Amino acid sequence: MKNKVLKILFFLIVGGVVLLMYSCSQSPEIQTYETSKEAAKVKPDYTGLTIPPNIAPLNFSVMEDGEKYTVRISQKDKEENKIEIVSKSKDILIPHKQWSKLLKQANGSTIQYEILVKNDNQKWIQYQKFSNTVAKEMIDPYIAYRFMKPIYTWWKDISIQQKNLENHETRLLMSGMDFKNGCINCHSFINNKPETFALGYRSTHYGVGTLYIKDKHIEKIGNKWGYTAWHPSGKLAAYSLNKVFQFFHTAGIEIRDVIDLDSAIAYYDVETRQTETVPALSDKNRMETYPCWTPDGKYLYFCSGEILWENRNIVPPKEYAQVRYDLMRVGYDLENNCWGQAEIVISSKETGKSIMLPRISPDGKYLLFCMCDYGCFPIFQPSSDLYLLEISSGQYKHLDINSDYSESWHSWSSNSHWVAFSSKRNGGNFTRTFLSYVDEEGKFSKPFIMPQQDPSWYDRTLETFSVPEFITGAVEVCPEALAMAAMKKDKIESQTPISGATPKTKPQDWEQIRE
Amino acid sequence: MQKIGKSYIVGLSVARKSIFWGVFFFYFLLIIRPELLYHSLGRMNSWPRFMVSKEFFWETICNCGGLLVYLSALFSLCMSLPWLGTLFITLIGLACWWVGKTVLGKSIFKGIWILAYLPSLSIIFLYNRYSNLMTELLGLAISLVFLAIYTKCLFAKQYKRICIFGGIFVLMMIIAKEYCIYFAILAGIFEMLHSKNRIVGFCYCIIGMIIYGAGYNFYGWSANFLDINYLSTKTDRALLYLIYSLYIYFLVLIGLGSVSIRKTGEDKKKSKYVSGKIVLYFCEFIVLAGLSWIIHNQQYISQKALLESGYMSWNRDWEGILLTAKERPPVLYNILRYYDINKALYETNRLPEEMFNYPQDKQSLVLIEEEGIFQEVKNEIYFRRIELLIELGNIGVAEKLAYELLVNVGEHPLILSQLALIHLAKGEEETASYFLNKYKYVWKLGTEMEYVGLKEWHICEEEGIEVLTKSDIVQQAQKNRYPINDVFGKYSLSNYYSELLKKNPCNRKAYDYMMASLLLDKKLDEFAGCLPDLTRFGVKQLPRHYQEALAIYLQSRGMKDIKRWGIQPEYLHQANTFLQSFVKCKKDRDLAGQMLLKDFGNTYYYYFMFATVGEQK
Repeated sequence: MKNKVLKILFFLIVGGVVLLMYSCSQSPEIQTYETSKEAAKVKPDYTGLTIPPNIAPLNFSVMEDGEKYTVRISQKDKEENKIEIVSKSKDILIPHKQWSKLLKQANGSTIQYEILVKNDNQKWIQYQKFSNTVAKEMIDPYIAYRFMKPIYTWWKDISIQQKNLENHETRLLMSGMDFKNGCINCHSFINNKPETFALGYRSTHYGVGTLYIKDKHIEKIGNKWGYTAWHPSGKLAAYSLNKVFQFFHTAGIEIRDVIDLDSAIAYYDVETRQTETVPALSDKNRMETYPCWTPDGKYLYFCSGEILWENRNIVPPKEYAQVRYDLMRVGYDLENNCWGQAEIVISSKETGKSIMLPRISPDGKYLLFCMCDYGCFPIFQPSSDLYLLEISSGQYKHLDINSDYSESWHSWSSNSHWVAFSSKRNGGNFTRTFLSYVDEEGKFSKPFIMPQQDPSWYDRTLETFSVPEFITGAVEVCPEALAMAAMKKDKIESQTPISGATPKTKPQDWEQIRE
Repeated sequence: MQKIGKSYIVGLSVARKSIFWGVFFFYFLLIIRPELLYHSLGRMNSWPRFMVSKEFFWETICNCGGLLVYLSALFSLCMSLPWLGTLFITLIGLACWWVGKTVLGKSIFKGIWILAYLPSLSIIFLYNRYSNLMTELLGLAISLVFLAIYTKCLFAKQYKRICIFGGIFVLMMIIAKEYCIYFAILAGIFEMLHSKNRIVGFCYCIIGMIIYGAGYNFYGWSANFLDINYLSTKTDRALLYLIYSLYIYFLVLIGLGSVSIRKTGEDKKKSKYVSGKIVLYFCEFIVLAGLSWIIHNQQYISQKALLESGYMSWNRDWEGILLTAKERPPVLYNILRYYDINKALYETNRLPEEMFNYPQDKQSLVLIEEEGIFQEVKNEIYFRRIELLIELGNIGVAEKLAYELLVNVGEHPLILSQLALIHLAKGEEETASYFLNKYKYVWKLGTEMEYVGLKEWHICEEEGIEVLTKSDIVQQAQKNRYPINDVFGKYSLSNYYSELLKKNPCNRKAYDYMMASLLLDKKLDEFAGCLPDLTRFGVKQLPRHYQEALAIYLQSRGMKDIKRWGIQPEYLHQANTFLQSFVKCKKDRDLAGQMLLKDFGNTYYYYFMFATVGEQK
């Protein structure tokens, strides 16, 4: 009997507490408020964007002082599926399910945000609404990027991570710490698919090499691949061999700088496991780098710069600030393994700048590239901006999405409507990934930072996000398996056959520096 | 008679424990000094930084062994408050002693209580090397606690014991990773010698070995764990091996004791107090005192002096640094101590007056590390070099080094504050705010807050970045900032002084360090060329060492233009006397050195004649 009474009492107390919590979570109707003429400042800046219909909640902080915050998000002129968040904290965390419902409903139209802040005088201030357009085109659900502290000379704890853009979940793809503080770089996927990709690594214990992953099967290739581009067929990968060195400046926003003293492009045949090159891609008087295939696989675009120095061992050579790369392309016939003659697409003499990182949209319409004042490493060049080339017309334009700082490492989504790129726009030192919508006319919308669950997370994160690559699903190979593959002794030996045109290279001697 | 003897012995036992733990506590507090342990940036290389955030909690805890890492990061903070750190270590020592005593109490050797003290003595021994052992200690403590739990089940049925062992082993793997091996081996030895089915105990040990022995570089792990690489002398190693041999001996005794208990069933009988025990107690006391003395003598004095010097430098205790330099001249890891000495002299405006009163090393001025130096010390050198570069105004080089240190050491508050300062000096407030935001999440306690630079950052947490931008430390860094965008190769300050002085002729530190550098290099022509610039700083009378150097310079030039230099005649006379004495014993350079040391040991003449550039005097 006594136990029964106690049980009833217990359930009553629990029920009461639950009810109390529920009632507290409901916002009281705000009867009176003053209206501000300005929109509330929010961080990250998620105002006036075009957002994907499948993006995770864009949580933000309201940068206005107050005791309480109310945020209402709804489709413009529709009350259905309206989200209301009441918070004592500046951080506004949007419920995921409600957010997804709202975006589904608002697909192709606009959602608006209403922000009310209760100030110290207990008065509610209503700020001007701001809105976002929900695009019809989905974004690829995953993005893989390199995650590490800003590296100058030493490295530690470098990893490749994959983030689900639909729900904020982040998973490790591979960690350098799993193979005695190794370095990982140059992750490249075939047609944005997660099943087949290559990963470069180097380690003082296990040497340098490349992991080739296909359907969870991992092969270790003894050569270090630089910047890699997969032929759309997946049958061969073109990659650069770079004699790359880092040096430093005594002043400036970015004191790091990188120079290739020599470089060439080779390609690896997956079936024969052989590495080859052709004179068009390994001219001894030029440096070829950053290969990129057209979606039909008939052309390989790449960057090529003239070697201005005699001695290829002085770092940096006096002429380091005069090195500028042209955008070039070379035809290729896969069936006959036949290469054409290299031709200049955009000349650096014409632009006065160095052209880097060509990336062609999967629909083959556009080529996105960087231009900076000099050199081969745009992420260390505050002058680096993104440009868009319309392939059919050969016209290119400077994009509005650029900032005063470096923009680089861009990637197209599989539907050619979303672009992810690395930018240092938040102060010039920390690389972050930004997303932007591209319409049919090649117009880019205002870029926004890749969302995180905690809106203030970026403010205290000292890691950089580099080389963002869209993928259509998660990579299912476990990180430990990749590390084990990097550590094992068995590997595919594939001789780099570059001689004559460019002196035969020894990749193991070439320190690859990437951010 | 029996009663008197018993109370006497009990009293003696209590007194012995009190003395031991009292000495333990005060030795750690006053001789080892936990604040020195905490101060050492280099040691913090393996010292996980605790952060007040959910992310840090989950990121740490989700890894295998994460709880131990989290706890050791948390408890490492105790060291910043000396009494708390001491109390914590004493409690761990007490826990080890208690478990040892409890276990020993079940053996036939329960009278030999000295064995229970050995773990505590080894804690002191290892802390005397100034290593951070928090993770290891907590790992050991957790294993011992679980061992104590396991020993309670020794009389349970075999299958139950196996289940309990398995459960504890898995739990320990989750919370303490490799430290589960302690538990497995200890429990295995117990089981082997206690149970009828000894193979089970053997399997316990094997499980531990297989999991962490196979596929793991066992030698590397054990060498690393035992800190063997850090023990430089044979005596150090011999002593450590002795302590660990005693551990093994101790374990065997426990096992034998257990067998004895099982056979005789004496465990429930109380021990008898006999007069002979007084002698035993006395012997134990002597042995303990002897061991303690040996351990005390094994303290790394030079390492301690280095840490003391660095700690005093944090606290701007310049007189303390100079006093320590006289009491315990630099012997090992010289460079940082030399640097501290010169910094203390500079900060008290005595560098050109007294620098040759102290041992000198040319490389210390620019903090070029010695070959074969430990990574931990390298980190500390890096940190101080960044500090020097910021003070001199060479922000670009400082930035590079600070980021390298960030990667290597982690998000240490000092490094975060240095990076924030660097970016503020460059006018990059947004970037600086990242470091200051992160800085808020790192716990800072006690001695760390004494660091003068950090006090200002603490203000920033309250009042915002604008206040900090106007602070003296940032203004000074901006004022001295090296403006030219050159490309720099290998680290060297020698070329920067003149550029720094061109930008800011009032950069007194650059001037004083340049002159000191020229004196140490014995480049008297260049020194004389720069000497007239001293008037910029309102100096009316040439400092002592400048006069001495000038006297040598003028002697070498046949005493031309003496009046132009404004040298006092007494220095010319001194130089003359020195040279005459030197010429007398010229044939025997060592003898000359010894003879002149007394009267001229603290002069530039002596350095000029006897010091080889790059070597200490």
